[in-house]
Amino acid sequence: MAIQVNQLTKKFRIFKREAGLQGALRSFLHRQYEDFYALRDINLEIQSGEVLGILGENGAGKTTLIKLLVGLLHPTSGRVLIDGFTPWERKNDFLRNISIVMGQKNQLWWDIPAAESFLLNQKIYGIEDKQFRKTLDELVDLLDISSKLNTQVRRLSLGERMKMEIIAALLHRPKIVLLDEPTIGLDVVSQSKIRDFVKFYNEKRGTTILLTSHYMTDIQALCKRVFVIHKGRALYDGNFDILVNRVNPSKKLTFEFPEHPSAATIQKLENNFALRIEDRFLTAQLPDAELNELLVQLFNLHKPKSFSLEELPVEETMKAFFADPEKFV
Amino acid sequence: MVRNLKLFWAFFSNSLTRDMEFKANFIGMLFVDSVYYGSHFLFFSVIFNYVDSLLEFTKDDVTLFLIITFMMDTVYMLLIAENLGKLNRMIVKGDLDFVLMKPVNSQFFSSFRYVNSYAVVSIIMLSGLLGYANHLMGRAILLQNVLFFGYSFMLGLCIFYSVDFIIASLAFWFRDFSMSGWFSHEIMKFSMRPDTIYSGFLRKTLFTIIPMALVSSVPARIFIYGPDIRYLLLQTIVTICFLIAVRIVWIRGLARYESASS
Repeated sequence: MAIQVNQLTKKFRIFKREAGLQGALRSFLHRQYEDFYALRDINLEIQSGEVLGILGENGAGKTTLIKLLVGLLHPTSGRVLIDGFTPWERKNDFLRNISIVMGQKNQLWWDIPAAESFLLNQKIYGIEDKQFRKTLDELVDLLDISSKLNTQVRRLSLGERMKMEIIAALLHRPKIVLLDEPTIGLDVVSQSKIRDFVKFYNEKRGTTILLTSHYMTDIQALCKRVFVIHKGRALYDGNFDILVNRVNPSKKLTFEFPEHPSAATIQKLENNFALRIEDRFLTAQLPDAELNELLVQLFNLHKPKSFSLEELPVEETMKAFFADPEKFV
Repeated sequence: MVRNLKLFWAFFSNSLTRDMEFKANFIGMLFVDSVYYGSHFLFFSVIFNYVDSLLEFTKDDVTLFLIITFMMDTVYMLLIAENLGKLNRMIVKGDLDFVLMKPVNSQFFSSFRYVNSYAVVSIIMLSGLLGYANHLMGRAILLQNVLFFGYSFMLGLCIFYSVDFIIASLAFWFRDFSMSGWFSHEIMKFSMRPDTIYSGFLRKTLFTIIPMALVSSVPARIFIYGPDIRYLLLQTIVTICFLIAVRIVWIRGLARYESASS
């Protein structure tokens, strides 16, 4: 097992003050603090080579969990074991096998080309020249970024910069990689390239990957299993498709009649199902069982000119989920 | 140790690459340093228009003291200043994350990651100036004095570093401690004057609790008058105490580190 988390809790002490000058004066003289639980009693097991999506609204505790797993934060209580190491002890052998990419923070030096920062990482991680060259060439090829290696980081586009950040994080071939919103702010093409790369890299190297993203297409493409955090507590740990299906079991049917259906047919269908008919097109958004029944009736009535069945957009489904997550689990 | 030296060389090369990107900055900093040093020389020249000596420090002694002080300042600029200058913001903004993720001693990494390579030129110039001034004053350079001076200079640098590091690390406790740079700078000013101008309680404080007199004055005394076992012993003890304090502050500070939300 790559990662084992038991009863992990992280509490922050937050300075509290009222708004306005009076509040500022009062708090200057008498500070008031309150405890804020970013995470409470989290239990989690992750197998080697698994890709786990960590989901939650803003402030749910995703980043706190990631930072505890890489040892940036000390927990208030609980235990984390990653390949036998306690992360916050920050042993060099542990740090050599783990890496993090944060979509909103850079590790590359702004004013110099990324290639210079890679050389520095080579020295920091003590990577042999031959292995360094091989890994760098491979990553640069996969991410198709060789032409930008010697361009100052500040002159790169956001997508190019993220590719360089990913290279910097993977040069030492870590066994575990934590990706905290790696596609944030990227255009759809760049998002897709990063997703393809992560998928390929996980399959090729067997790297354990933990991913947080607000883009559900990232999660759908990469993670079979998701771990949902809500207000600091674990809410769901399991298959992503099952969760999506639980939130919205419907599919969208578009059925094209060969000619305009009769008023009686429309009336009959509308009486039995929630659907819409415009001209020759029938559209309905229904759960599987109802949809099957509707299809049987439709095929009995008419041979379709065309028809399609679509899954509902996962972004929309998860938006509905996060509006009231407790309702679905 | 060998690994850290290799790493330091990598930091230096990386920083030199960066500094070479900005030619104007590189040359500009040399100019700023010259003006800064010149103003200090001028300040003491004015004083020596009215007095013959500052207790046992003659005008020649003060000249040597100033060159040694500037050397200390420049070596500090070369190795440490930029790092500790950034440390406060790194703690507050959570930029320490990438330092802590590296398989390197985090204190070493935060203290030596950025090297102000331009300062190498200033150090060479100041070393030449020290030798030349010494020669003009007709003083012999004894190997023994040079060796003890080197040792004392290194301890002075460690004390300078320790005080600055502890102040910068207070951000772990006070969150936004943006006045740390200014606070350090004001304390460091005590090291820029010969210790002979201080007396009483202030003098005792500057040799112990806030040991700024041990930063430049003691190395200068050893260079000018030769090794003095009392000063060397005191400097060694204070350095050890402060380096231990730095380590404790760093470890306790890291346990309080909250990073920052994404």
